[in-house]
This record gives sequence, C-alpha cells and structure tokens, in this order.
Amino acid sequence: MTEVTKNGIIEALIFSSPSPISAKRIASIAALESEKDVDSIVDLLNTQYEKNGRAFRIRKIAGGYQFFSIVAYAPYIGEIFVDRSQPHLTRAMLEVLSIIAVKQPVTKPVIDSIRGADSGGSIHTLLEKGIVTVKGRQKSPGRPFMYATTRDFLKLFGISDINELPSEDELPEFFGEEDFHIPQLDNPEEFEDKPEIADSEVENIDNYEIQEDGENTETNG
Amino acid sequence: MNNNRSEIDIRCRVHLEQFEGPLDLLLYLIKRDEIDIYDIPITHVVREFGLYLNRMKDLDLAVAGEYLLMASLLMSIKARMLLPKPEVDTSEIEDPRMELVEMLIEYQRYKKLSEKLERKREEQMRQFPKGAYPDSRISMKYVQEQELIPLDTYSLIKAAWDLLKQKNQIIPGEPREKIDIGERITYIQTFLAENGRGRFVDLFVEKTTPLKFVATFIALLELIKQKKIRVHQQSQFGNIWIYPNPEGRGD
Repeated sequence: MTEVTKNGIIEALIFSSPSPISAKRIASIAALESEKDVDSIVDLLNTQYEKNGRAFRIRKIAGGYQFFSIVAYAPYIGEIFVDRSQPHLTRAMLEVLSIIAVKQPVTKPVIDSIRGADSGGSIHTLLEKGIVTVKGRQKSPGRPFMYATTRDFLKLFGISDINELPSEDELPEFFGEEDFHIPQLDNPEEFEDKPEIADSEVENIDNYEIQEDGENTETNG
Repeated sequence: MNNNRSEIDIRCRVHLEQFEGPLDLLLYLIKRDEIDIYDIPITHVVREFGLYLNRMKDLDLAVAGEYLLMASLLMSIKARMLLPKPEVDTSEIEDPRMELVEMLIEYQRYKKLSEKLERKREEQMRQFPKGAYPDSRISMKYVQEQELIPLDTYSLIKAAWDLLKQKNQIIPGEPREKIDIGERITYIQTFLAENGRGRFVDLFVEKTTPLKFVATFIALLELIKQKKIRVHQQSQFGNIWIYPNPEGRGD
C-alpha cells in the first residue's frame, strides 16, 4: 500500500501539471500553511533527486514550478527534440530587453538614449515574438508607448520571478565599474566616490586636468 | 606604413559590424586602450573614433546618424576642454566629460545585464520541460528528419572558443612546438572516414596543446573552404556535426 505524503502530493502536482504551477495553488491543494513550505519541500525533493543521480529537477520558473531535465543531458535530448520556436535574439535585442526588464514600463526614447542608438527595429521584433508588450502610454507629449516584459520572457530565460533581476537602484551593485581600467594613483580613495561628486569635494574637481593641447600621454600604451 | 594601414583596415572591418552603436564603439576603444574612464584623453578618443567613422565610409557601410551625433558631442567636449581654466573658484564647473562618462557607465551596466541574460538563456535552452506539454511549442522530430542548420563562421569560432576555455582539455605546449596543418587535415579526414560523420567536440577529445588545437581548427576551416566537408548544427546550441562532402571530393 502506497503511503500518501505531503512531499508526494507536491511532487505529483508538479509532475502532472502541463505548465508551471504556482506555489499558491500547491499550498492550497496540499493543505500547507504557507507558500514557503512548498519552497522548502521542493528543495528537499531536489536534494533527493540529486543524491539519487536523477536527470531532472524541479525548477521555479515564471512564477511556478515545473520539472526540467538537467543541463548535462541536453546533448542527448537534442538528438530527439528540436525546438523550432526558439527566437533568435541579437545582441541589440538583448540590450533592449535588459533595459525594459529593469526599467519597465519604459518608453522608446529612454531606451534609445541609454543605448545611444535607435532601438525601433529591436523593439518591434521583441513585440512580435511576444517577449515584450505594450503596457500603456506615457502621459507626456506624443504619448509614447510604454513597454514591459511578458511571462514568456521569464520562461525563455529561465527566470523564476522578475524580481530575480536587479532593480534600477541595485544595478550599480551588480555591475560596477570594475571592468574599467582605473590607474592606481597616490590617493586611490579619490576615485572611489567619484560617481557622485558632491559640491564640497572641490579636491576631486581640481584633479581633472585640462590639457592645453589636448594630448594625453598618460594612457598611451 | 602601408602595412600598418591595411592592418588597421582589417581590424576595423572585423569590428565595425559588431558594434551596437556609438557608445559600444567608445566602450571598446576605452577598454582596448586601457583608458581611465574618469580621465578620458578626449583628443585620443576623438581621433580613434574618427578613424572608425572614416573606415565605415571607406567600407561603404552606412554611417548611422547616431555615430555622427556622438562625433559632434566628442568635438564639443574637446572644444570645451580647450577653453582656458577660469581663475575663479572651479568647484562649480563640471568637467565637460562627466556627461559622457555617466552615459558610458550606464550603458555598460545594461550591456553587462544583457550578457548575463544571454548566459541564462543558453542555460535555459539546455533544460527541457517535462514532456506532454499541451501548449508545447516543442515539436518532436527524429534526427534524420531534422532540418540541420548550416553554421556560420562565428558560431564555429564560438564553439571552438568554448572548448578551449575548458582548461582540462589543454596541456601546455613545448617551446618551438612544430605543427603540420597537413597532418591535421589528414587527421580530420581519417576521423570522418572511420565514423562517417562526427561531432565537432569529438575532434578534440584528446588533450592537446593550444597550438595543436588551433592547428586542428585551421585544418577544419581549410577543409570547409575546399568544400571537402560540411558542418551543420542540430539546433541552436545543439551538437555541431561534421560530414564529408561527396561533391567536394576529388577536386
């Protein structure tokens, strides 16, 4: 006789669901007190799968749970499945998508100005493919469209929730300026708080040298 | 000098089409020349930026308006920098480059996020949802019926680069190691003759030195050029298959 367990109920619900099933629905069917319980049971199930060397895991995607095969088996599944629906995304489209994902709802002029380039073509294709959508119009002259990402966007990128991505305020923490070459000077702290130059920091401003002939010998190398 | 010029030409040709806009080009120049973002040598940047614009014209690529706009912004910054420094308290005067710096940093953040998204997507594409998916957009097809995607050079280079990055496949080479591309060509042809067709990754199963790796890759490109082999991919990020090309044989 098979014993019915809470973990088993959750596993069965996710297993049989045709699309990602939300924690809320699972919690109500399995009579769990909170949606967090679903999370911890899913973690437990995944640990068991891993321990037993299973080829699948439950993943949180687009606000729900779904079974997915793990990456290691992709080449084998690739021998059977061909996903023709996968849209081809260009670098320009990915840039536009990043801006929309973080700043949504956002208008085309804002996107254009961040990229320093026209984004009309990319936005159009993203709309066509249903990765972004029009969220309304801005109450400003010209009433430009405001764009936002869709649920398909989350599915396409394997994102559990839009909050998984950094917000506009968090973006500098995620992607700092560490990529830029910053020469070591005698007073390194001079550069540390450069992004926000306070009026009181007269010193900093003085450190910008205005060259007479415009030539800079320091950085040729 | 001539040599130098043509080298620049090639370099420009390779890069021009991959820039997503003037900010992208500027970021590239700043990184290439290891420029301090907070102290951009504006004359140097104006010169390099102009060089790229001229090459675009030379190569008959349409120079988009946004590049010209950026060029004029750079020129105006340069002009403002040449103005004599006022004797009075300078604390109120903003560095003319500041606006540009802020634009670059903001653009760079979204560019990095877009790279992160791309990696997430590649990973997502390697994980398949449980079958029996009513709204499924995945169609089941066996390999034989599959339409194979012909591969462009860029994807091939990317595949090689990904392999090369898996360090466990690469062993250090000896100094003045000698490699014969002809020998590598024979290696690939033997490999195909034995297996009929082969996966790209299987060409590199043995541990190789970086030089040997590159030589094998060049040999592969050479065979493609001579139309002796065909290279196809099953799906995006799928396996890359190499086939002998019957029509290309014997010429």
